[in-house]
Amino acid sequence: MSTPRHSRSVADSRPPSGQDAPYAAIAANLMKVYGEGETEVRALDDVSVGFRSGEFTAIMGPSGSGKSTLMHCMAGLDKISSGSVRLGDIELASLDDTGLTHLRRDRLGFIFQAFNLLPTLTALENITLPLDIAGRRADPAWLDMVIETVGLGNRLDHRPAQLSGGQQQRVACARALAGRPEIIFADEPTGNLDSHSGTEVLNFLRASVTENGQTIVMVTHDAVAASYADRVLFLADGRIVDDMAAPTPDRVLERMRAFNRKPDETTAAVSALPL
Amino acid sequence: MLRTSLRNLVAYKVRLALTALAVVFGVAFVAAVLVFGDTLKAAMTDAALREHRGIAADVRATKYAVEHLQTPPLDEPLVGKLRALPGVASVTGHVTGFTAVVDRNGKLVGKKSSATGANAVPGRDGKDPRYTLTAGRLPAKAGEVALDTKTAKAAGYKVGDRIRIVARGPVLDQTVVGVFTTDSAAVEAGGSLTLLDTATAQELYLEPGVYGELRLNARPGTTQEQLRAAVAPLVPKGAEALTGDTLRQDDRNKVNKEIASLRTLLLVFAGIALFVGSFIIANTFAMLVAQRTRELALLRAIGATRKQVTRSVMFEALAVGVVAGLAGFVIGIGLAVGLRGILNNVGADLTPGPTIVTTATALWSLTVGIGVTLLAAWLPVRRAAKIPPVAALRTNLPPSTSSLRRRNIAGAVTMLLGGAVLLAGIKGSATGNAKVFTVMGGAGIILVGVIVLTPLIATPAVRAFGALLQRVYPVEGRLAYQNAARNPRRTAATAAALMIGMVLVTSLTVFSTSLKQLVDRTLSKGITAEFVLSSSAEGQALAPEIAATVAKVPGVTAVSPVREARVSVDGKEHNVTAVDPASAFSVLATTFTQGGPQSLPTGLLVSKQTADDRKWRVGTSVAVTFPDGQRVQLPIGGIYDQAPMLGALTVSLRTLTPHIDVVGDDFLLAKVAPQYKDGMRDALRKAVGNSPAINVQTSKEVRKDFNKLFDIMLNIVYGLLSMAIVIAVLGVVNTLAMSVFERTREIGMMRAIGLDRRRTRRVIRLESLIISLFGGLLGVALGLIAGVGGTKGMARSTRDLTVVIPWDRVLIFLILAAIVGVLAAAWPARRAAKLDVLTALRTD
Repeated sequence: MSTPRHSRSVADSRPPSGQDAPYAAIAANLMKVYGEGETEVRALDDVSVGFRSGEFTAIMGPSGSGKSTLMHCMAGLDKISSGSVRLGDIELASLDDTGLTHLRRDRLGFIFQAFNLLPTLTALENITLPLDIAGRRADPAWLDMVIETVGLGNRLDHRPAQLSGGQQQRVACARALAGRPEIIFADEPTGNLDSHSGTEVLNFLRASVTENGQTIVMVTHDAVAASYADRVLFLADGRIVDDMAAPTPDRVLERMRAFNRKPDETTAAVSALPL
Repeated sequence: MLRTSLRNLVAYKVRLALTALAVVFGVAFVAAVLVFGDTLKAAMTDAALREHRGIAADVRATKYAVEHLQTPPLDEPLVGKLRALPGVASVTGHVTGFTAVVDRNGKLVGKKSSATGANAVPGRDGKDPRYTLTAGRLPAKAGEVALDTKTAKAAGYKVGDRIRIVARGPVLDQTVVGVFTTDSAAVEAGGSLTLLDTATAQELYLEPGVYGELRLNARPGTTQEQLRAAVAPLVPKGAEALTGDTLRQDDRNKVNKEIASLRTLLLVFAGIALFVGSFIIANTFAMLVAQRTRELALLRAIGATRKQVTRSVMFEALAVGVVAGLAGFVIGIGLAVGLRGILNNVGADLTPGPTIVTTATALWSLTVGIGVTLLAAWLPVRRAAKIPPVAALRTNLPPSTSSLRRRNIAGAVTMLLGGAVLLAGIKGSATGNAKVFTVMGGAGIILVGVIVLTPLIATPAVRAFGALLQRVYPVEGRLAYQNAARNPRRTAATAAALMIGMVLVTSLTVFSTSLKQLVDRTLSKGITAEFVLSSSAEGQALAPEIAATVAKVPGVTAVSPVREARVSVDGKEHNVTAVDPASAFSVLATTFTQGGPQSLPTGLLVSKQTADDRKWRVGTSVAVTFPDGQRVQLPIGGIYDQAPMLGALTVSLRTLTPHIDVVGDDFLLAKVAPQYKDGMRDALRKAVGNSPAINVQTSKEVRKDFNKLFDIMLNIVYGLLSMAIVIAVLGVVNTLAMSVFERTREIGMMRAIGLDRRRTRRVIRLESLIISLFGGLLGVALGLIAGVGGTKGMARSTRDLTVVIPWDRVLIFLILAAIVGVLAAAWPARRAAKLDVLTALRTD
């Protein structure tokens, strides 16, 4: 497509060198267009990206940059306009709704900003819900490990309404991990939490990557949260504009500030045009 | 505040429309009954008045005389005397009775119950002003008849044809001499009118020289009342003189009474439908209020008073009620028109006339629609006003699980009260209607108590269903049952709506099946005759000569007519049955507790119940007053028990017959020698001239006919109750739609983590199944209790009545409840499955 707008942008982001784990998910020339003609909006504009197994990736970008859309398309929750998304060896475009549902059920895990636990189920029942839906028996050792890491102690038989926000999100994390999914997609998992609870959840996610080789893709707008990841992708206007390895909060913040400056630059550029 | 109400009406239009529908059906039912009743009433009144138009005064048998089989001597000499009175312009004598025309295939033409015969009354010009001849002339002598055009056309008869007609007796061969048009009610109601000459009609229906009715016209200047006053002194015993106006008023009253009882019966079912509908309304408003808790609290927080909040929600209820009332009214008119069409199509031949829609019907429809809606919405709306303003500020609203304790206590107290009333009814000293109403009232109060208690029962019941469902569908079953258990009030109200219909259907089925079996058993035990002969037109008796004819058929060993009349003893009326003493006890199985049938030729037999009531014994001499007023002392020769064909008293034919004028047999029982059995039906048919007006049936066929009658009645009741069930289904749909709506985000989450569309649908369907099976089971259980209780209560006064529970039907009802559940879930389940995952996840 067109040339990058910024010199530092990488349209085709490559995994950090030195890592040669296989890709858990790959998007190629991903387009997501809403509306038609004049009102056409390109939420994703020719995005190609790969997520390696055992890698913790954060996706950042200003509102409307397409970061959530990218995640939804990668997770088979949203239909793509063109391009390809592959999870392992499966092309998502080839699946119908039931196929996608089963793919999500069997191979993916989800963590939502609003926890989304079923109020009628206990914490433990919520954790095993995806396994129950799949009709799979949980690996008891793994489940014990997950539950222990989540640290709910004796609150497993409590209903969500009896748990704090942080506890609820930890239940949601355990739910995502219980089925040992190939990838966990987390959509602003700390967005509804105070900083203390947020840190707990992030430590938990980090640990599951480091200790168990879990693959996680997390959308966030919090620089601190992003710094827990191995790698941060920056999106703007539906394109990947940066790919940062070994992020720190400062570096992420720095990069985000560049977005805030952008409107000024644009204005300057426009006014400089010979009209 | 008005604007808020209007906005809400728009915002929740689908849900409110669905709710309104529940009331619309009930109101439509009411409106249809009113329109149908008014229309039928107008048509029937019109037809009756047409029959009696222009009459200034009328002389006819009194109601008492008719009921007691007496015919006062309205004869030619009386006609002469009346003609001689000053002020009388004309007197005409009329005789009418049952007469039907046989078509070329040996079948009766038209509706049997309206098949009429009458004498032609030609004036001086030789014409009968009531009929317009289109061909030929009026009958003038025996063997001649004139037919109405409709009948003539249906049978393909024309002037000159030899035809057969039937009245009470044998088939008669006649010649058609005329065809006429008429607006007679009998013909309009699908029957036939056969005109005969006066002498033949008198012989057929009464006795030679006697009329059934005399119609008088006044000379100018004589009022109706003057005429009646002049006639009255000449009127013989058993007859009465009426002015034309009184006669027509009497017609009107008769029609009104008939329509009123039909209307009351139908309105009861409309009331049931509305009652069920009110549950749906209450439930919907409860759901709407719960859904809008925060919004209503916000209104309170920014300064709206409780009253204002109440008023704004009540205004919505009012709008729903108005819409439902109007729509119900319009649909009701359509229903009434459609119902007439359907009834006419199945051969009811209702008297034709324009559809009558009165202002009263419109007003009632609106009043009922608005009234039911406002009443039902009142409780949930009051709850809305109690929402504290602070609720607006809470982000995570706990579900409104206010304690059920007060409700449970109220329910228990109501049930106890109902039980007390019921017991008082059964054990108490009240008799007859008072007893029935007390028992029914008690059962009704208990039902209300159960309805109040349903939320209490709902939780364990739903859990039990859930446990069962989880075995088949571990995940969906659990989700479904937990959803159903989440709001026991709502689940209970939805199930209760279905329960009410189920209670009625089940209890009436038990009751009717028990009665049916009683009648069947009684008939099969009581009749030992192989064949039963009766008129095929309801309520008509057979002429006495039929019995003599049948007795002569080779192979018939015994024939007894069964003839019923009313007599009084010590001023109290009793049914008396007259039978042939020589043959009666070979065709009827009768058990005597005292004495025997030997004395019947000259004595009296009485039933055990009557003997017990009256403290009579064998040997007691009883003074029996016969219909003609004569008093005869008759000794009691036997007391019988378990004789279903016999009334309170039994006498011989010879004892009764001299005292009645209208001699006819209600039916004949014939015993047949075994070797003749095979061809006997044909032999009997032949003996009665193959008359299509006489049924020749084996006793088994008679029983079958009775069974059919019960089945038809029960089916009509099912039909009338189906409206209540349909409304209950709407309630289930509504609740499920709400459930899907409230849980949009949960559904989105489950879809995201791997529940596919099919299984999402299944969750909703199972929830629906749980609710409807709960309602169905509860209804069937209560219905069984009520049906068994009611039947047992009645068995105290009706011997031999035993409770029969038709388990196959009960099972069908439960399956029906399950089907209701699956059907009701169709739309909400589809909606749930079609939800876009991302949109659903974003919902708050």
